Amino acid sequence: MGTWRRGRWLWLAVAGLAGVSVAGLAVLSWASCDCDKVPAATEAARVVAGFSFVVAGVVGLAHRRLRRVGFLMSAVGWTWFAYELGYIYQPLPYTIARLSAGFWQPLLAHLAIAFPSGRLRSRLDRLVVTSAYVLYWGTSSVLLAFWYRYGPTGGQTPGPHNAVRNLLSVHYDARWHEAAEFISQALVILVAVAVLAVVFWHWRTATVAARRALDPLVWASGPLAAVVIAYTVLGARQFPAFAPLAMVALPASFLTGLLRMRLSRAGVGPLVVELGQTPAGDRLQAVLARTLHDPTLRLLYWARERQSFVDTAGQPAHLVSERSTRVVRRIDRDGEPIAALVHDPALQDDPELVEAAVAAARLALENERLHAEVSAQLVEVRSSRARIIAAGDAERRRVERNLHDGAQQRLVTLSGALKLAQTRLHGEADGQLGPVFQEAARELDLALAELRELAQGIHPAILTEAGLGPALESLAQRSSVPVRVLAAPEHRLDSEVEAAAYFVVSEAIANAMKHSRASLISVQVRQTEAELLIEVADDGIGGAALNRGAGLQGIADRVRALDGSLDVISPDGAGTRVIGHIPCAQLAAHRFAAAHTEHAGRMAT
Amino acid sequence: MRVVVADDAVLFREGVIRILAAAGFEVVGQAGTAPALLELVQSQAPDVAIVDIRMPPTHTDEGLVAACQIRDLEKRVGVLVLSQYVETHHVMRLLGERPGGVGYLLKDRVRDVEEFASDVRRVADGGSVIDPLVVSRMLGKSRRDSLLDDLSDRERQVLGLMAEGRSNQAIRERLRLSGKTVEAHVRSIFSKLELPETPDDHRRVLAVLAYLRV
Repeated sequence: MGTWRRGRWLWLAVAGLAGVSVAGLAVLSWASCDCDKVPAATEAARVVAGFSFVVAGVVGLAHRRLRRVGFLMSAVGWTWFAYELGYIYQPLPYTIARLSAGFWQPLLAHLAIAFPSGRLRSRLDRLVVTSAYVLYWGTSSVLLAFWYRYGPTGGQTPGPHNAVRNLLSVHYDARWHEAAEFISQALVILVAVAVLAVVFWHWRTATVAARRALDPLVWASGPLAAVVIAYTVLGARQFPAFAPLAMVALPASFLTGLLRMRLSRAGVGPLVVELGQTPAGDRLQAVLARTLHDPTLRLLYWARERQSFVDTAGQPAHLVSERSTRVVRRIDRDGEPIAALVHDPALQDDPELVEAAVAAARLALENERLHAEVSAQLVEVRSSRARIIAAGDAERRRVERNLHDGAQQRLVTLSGALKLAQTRLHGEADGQLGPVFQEAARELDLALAELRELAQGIHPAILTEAGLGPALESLAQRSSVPVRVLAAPEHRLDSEVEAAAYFVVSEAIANAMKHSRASLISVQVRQTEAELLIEVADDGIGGAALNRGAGLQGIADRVRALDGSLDVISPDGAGTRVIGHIPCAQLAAHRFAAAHTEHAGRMAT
Repeated sequence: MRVVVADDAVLFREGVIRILAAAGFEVVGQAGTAPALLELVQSQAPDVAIVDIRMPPTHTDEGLVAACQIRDLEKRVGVLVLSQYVETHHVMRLLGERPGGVGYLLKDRVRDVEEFASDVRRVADGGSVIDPLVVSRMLGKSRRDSLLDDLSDRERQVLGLMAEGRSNQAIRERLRLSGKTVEAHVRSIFSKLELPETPDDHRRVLAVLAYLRV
């Protein structure tokens, strides 16, 4: 970019120098000639017009993409000054000046039709431009052939001051000359109208982005056509003094267009800022379209797993349909595509702008990709955590059921049989065995009580059966430290939410009993619009923390698996509060179902 | 006395039947599901139905639901619900608004044949039986008001036995007290707890449990 910019300054200097020197030479030859010549004001306007074309053309030459059009534009400028060559009273310059004084006209036609790429794209384009050249050279040489042998004051023989010879003169005949002049003027007007029509047609069929480039020409073409026609009909001498200034419209608008392009590129700056401020998302496409002034621009993302491009909605997209002229710009990273821009071919006229936008987009895309990757992983981790917990719960239920259906039933039956045996034994009156049976029965009682506690700890049957309220009440009743349940939801919740809330409370109570030396624990579970709030508070010694002990950490994981949070507030000596939040999204879906179940339950009982 | 037994665990069901038979009950039917139980109750018109709380298909509270249906529809049939765990919630559902002819016991209680047989008879006679573990948990529960703290140890014992569904007569026998003493304790308890006195044992259970549950 740096060297390129230095090169451009050099070109600008060359342009200035060339413009100044050619204009200087023109003025010099005009001034040195004491013959019949255009007034000073007209000459000044002519110099300004020619100078502007030369300068704008050379500036165009400095841009890689505008080289052709720059060349044509400067050529219009150089040939514009061919007229002044006629002030040098020598046969050859004079003849050349007479011959090529209007050569800028077909060049201007070429420029207008080839604008802004500098290429002739269709047969019609080539036809019109070729006709312009052929007709010009044809008519101007014919005109010169039937012009005076000596000029510029006229006459067949040299006079005192005007012995410049027309080298091409064949035969002078005023009528022939007039007829040729009339035909040539008609042809020039015809060609001018054709060029105008072609330019308008180009503009009509151009894409939105390409229109931006054509705009300066369209705005300038009116004044230009007027100048060409006026010049042709009136000739240079009768030309209104300031009319050539209208010519300046094209170089001026051309330079304005270039400036606009620079400003567009400056627009990439805000693009970077805008993309940096917010996650790109779908907006990236819109922002790029705005920055590149191409509302048809499409941003396609590379879907690695599908090995194809998808659009912003995630639908598979073909890069380009076969007949499309749209341009695809792939954005790669480490040799693998990450995205592609499909844009208007007109944007190719300013590759630097596209590159700058792509660089900005690449940052945003990379950012977005990493973001998407992380959130995909997060989703996966979350759902796997939820699955692990759900699997754990299912396993707990299964183990509890097995204990209930198996060991507990057998122990109870065994206990009954033992008692029966004991009763029968009384009849047999064996004093020895009595105490043994009693001991066995007591041990069995203890075993049953322990097994019951164990099974209930693994999974409280009442939770599945009757929900959080009864389960918390049961928990409170079984606790050795007084537990008061201040609030609990009356309706059923999602079983995972119920389990999470239950285990938060049971773990917090267990923790309080083990460490806090609390004399009272209060429990409340409240449901608001937004969340389920679980709070277990004790009046113990405090100093508990989430990271101390696997118990609290385990329930924190459980709550987080439901997108919730768990906090432990436990200043030394001021009791402990364990506060859990489970967001309502988890609850809302189940509220209807729960109400429905409750209703059905009431119907059944 | 005619009894039906419902439990999906065959082993346990057989055990209960054996114990009941040994205690002199006539077991007129057995069932493994709630619908089979309801059918049995209608066809056999037993004095008592002994029902496990957990039965298929969900193994949660099918037995309790069936017990409540029997309580409401077959008023002459007593229902004794057996459960692996005792839950106040179950007791409250079972008692409904009109206690009497219902019982709720831990499954373990069946092994004490004499006690169990007397409980079954109590339910058959329209009385109430509440597992002592439920009552002791309720009594042990922390309370905001401390009206219970005003009770003497003896009064607490009496309150517990009342809550288990025992009559004054049973309480007198259990605590080896005179009838008058028991009546005095009961009156004192009701006045201390600000409960309306009722001569009906079952209403008394309801009042006491409702009080304890708050």
